[in-house]
Amino acid sequence: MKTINLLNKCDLNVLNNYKVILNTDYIFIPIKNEDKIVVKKGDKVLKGTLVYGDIDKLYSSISGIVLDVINLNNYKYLIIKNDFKELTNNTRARDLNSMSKDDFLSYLNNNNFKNIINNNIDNLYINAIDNDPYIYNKYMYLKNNIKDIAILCKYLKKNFNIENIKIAIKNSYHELLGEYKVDLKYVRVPDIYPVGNNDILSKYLISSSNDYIIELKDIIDVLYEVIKNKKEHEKYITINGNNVKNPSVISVKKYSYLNNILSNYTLLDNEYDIILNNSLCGLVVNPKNIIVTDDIDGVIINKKCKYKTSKCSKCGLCVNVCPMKINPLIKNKKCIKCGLCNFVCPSKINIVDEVQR
Amino acid sequence: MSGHLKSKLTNSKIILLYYLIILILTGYATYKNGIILYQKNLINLIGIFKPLLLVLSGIIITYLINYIYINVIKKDKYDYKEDYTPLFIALITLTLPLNISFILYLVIIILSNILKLFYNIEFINYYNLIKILFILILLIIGKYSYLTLYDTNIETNFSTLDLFLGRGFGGIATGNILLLIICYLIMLFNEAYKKEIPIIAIASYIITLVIFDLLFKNSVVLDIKNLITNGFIFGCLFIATIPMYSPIKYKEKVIYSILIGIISFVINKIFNIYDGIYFAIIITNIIIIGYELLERRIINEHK
Repeated sequence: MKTINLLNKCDLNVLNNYKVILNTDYIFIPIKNEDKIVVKKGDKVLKGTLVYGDIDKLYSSISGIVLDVINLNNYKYLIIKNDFKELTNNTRARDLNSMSKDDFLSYLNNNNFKNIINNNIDNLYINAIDNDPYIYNKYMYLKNNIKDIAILCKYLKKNFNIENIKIAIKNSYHELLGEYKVDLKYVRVPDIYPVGNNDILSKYLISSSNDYIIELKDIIDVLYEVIKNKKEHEKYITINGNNVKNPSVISVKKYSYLNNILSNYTLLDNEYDIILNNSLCGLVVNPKNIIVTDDIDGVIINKKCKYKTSKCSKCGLCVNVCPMKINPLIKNKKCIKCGLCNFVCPSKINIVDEVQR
Repeated sequence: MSGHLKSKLTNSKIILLYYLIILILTGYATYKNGIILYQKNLINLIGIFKPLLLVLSGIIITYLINYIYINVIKKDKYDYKEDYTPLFIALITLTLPLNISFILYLVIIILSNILKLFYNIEFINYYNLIKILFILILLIIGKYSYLTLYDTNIETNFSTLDLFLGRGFGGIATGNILLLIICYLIMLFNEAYKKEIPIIAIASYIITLVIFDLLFKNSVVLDIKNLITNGFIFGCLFIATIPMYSPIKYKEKVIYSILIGIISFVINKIFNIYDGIYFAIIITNIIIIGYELLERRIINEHK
C-alpha cells in the first residue's frame, strides 16, 4: 500500500488553534424543491425548527425571521435572518447510565452506526484521522468532546458486548491531545496520507471479519441524537493554507456564508486559490458562491502555484503512488480521489480533474 | 496554475539530473577518447573535444529545431526547461562510435528531429529508432566499428577488470561499468526513474547467458566480458528507461525488462550484433503494445 508523509514533504505545520465564529447575520438553507419548504416568508423560527422537509430534513441553525428564497450560482437557498437570541425548543439531555439498550436503539438515527452496531463486534475502531494534511476537524471534535465520547464508548462496550473500542489517531494528534486523553484506548497511525480514508485505514487495522471502523462524525451524531437530544447546529471547518496568516479550526453555524467567515482571516498574498476539502485535488471555488453545508470540511487558501503544467512524460509516478493500485491515467470507479497522483506528478497535471472527475 | 499542494519534483529537476549524468559521461568520454588518444599522438588538439562537440551540437540543434517549430511555426511558447528531447538525443550520441563523421551525425540528428515533429510516434522508442538508423547507415557505408585509432593501432588483451573500468572499445561513453553504476546510483535520486528496468533486464540477460552457456558448454567469462563491452548496460540504464516509451505499470515493467534481457542476449549471441539491446527494445516495445491491446480486449470482454 502506497502512502506519503505529506507533513515532511511540504513543511506543513500541525494546527492547534480553535475559534468560534457563530455571529452570522443570515443563514442560507439549500433548497432543491420550493414546495417542500415548511415555513413561510416572515415566520419566526427557533433554532432547530424544521424548515425543509424532503428526503433530507433541514433545520434552522439559528433563531430568527424567514426572509425569502434566492438564487445563488444556480442553486436555491432559503434565507433566515439571525435575531441572535438563540431561542430553541428546550429539550433535556438524556442520562446514558439509566438508558436501556432498546431505548438507545430507538433514539438512534445514524444509519452507519445502526448498520455496524447490530453485528458481533470484536474491535471497533473510531476513525479520528483527518483525511487531508491541512484539515484538523476530527482532532478538534475529539478534543472538545472527549469526555462524552469516553462515556459513550463505556456504554457501548457494556451493552453491546464489544471487546475493544479504540480511537485511531495520527501520531501528531497523540502529542497534541496531551491532558485530554481520558480513559480511552488509542491506536496510533503514522502521519501518512491518505490513511484517514476508511478503505486505507482498514488495511492497517482490520484483522478479522468482526473488526469494524466507524467515522468519528458518526459517533458525534450518536452523541447528539441519543445523549444531548438535540440537533447539531454548529459545524467544524478548518481554514488553513499557505496564504492564511492565522489558520484555525472554527465552529460556525451550519448554512453560513463562506465569504463572511473568510472576512475574519488575514490573507498574505493577493494571488491565491480557495480550495474545498482536499488540498491535493479539491475543487477551486469562489467563496461568494459557497454556503457551509455538511459537505464542507475545510477551506484551504493557498498561494497560486508557480509551476506550469506540461505534457505527461509517462514517468508512472502516479501509478506507483496510487493507494488503490489503479492506473490514474485511465478513468476508474475505484478511484478515491485522494489526489496523490496530482501531488506527485512532475508535469503538474491535475489528473483527478482531467481523468477521474 | 491552481494552488493545490504539489510535490517539489518537476520535469526540469529530472532533466537537470540527467544532464549531470551526461556531463559525467561526456567528461569520461573526453578523457578516454580524447586526452588519451592525444597523448599517444593519434589525434590533434581539436580531436580531444570531439565527444563534447558531438554531444553539444546534438543538444543545441535539437533545442533550435524545437524552438523554431514551436515559437515561429506554431506561434506558441517553447518551454526549453521541460523538453526531454535534447537530453535523450545527447544520450543516444554517447552510444555512437567515436569515429562517426561529424557531418553525417549532424544530418541524421537534424532529419530525425524534423521527423519527430511531424510524426508523433507514441509507442515505439523514437530515440532508439534514431540509434538504429545510425547503425544501419554506418553498416551501409561500411563505417560500423567501435574501434578507436588507439584500439586499431595497439594490440590489446584486456582483463575483465580492464573492461569493467572502461579500457575496452565501445561507444563514446558506454564502456565504463564502474561509472555507469555511479550514474545509476545518481539516477536513484530521480523519483521518476524506472529503476527496476535495468536491474531486471541485466539479471535476465545474465540468467539467459548462464543457461545458454551451460547448455552449449560455452565460456561464461567470455560472455560476461561481451556483456560489459557491448553497450547493453548503458542501453538498459538510459535508453530502455526513457519514460515516454517504457511501461508504467509494475507487471508490464517486469515483462518488458525480462524480454529486453533475453532478446538482447539472443541477438548479441546469434546474430553477433554488438548493439543487440537497441533491436531488443524495439521488439519488446511491439510485444508490450500487443500485450496491452490483449489485456484491454480481455477487460472489455469481461465488462
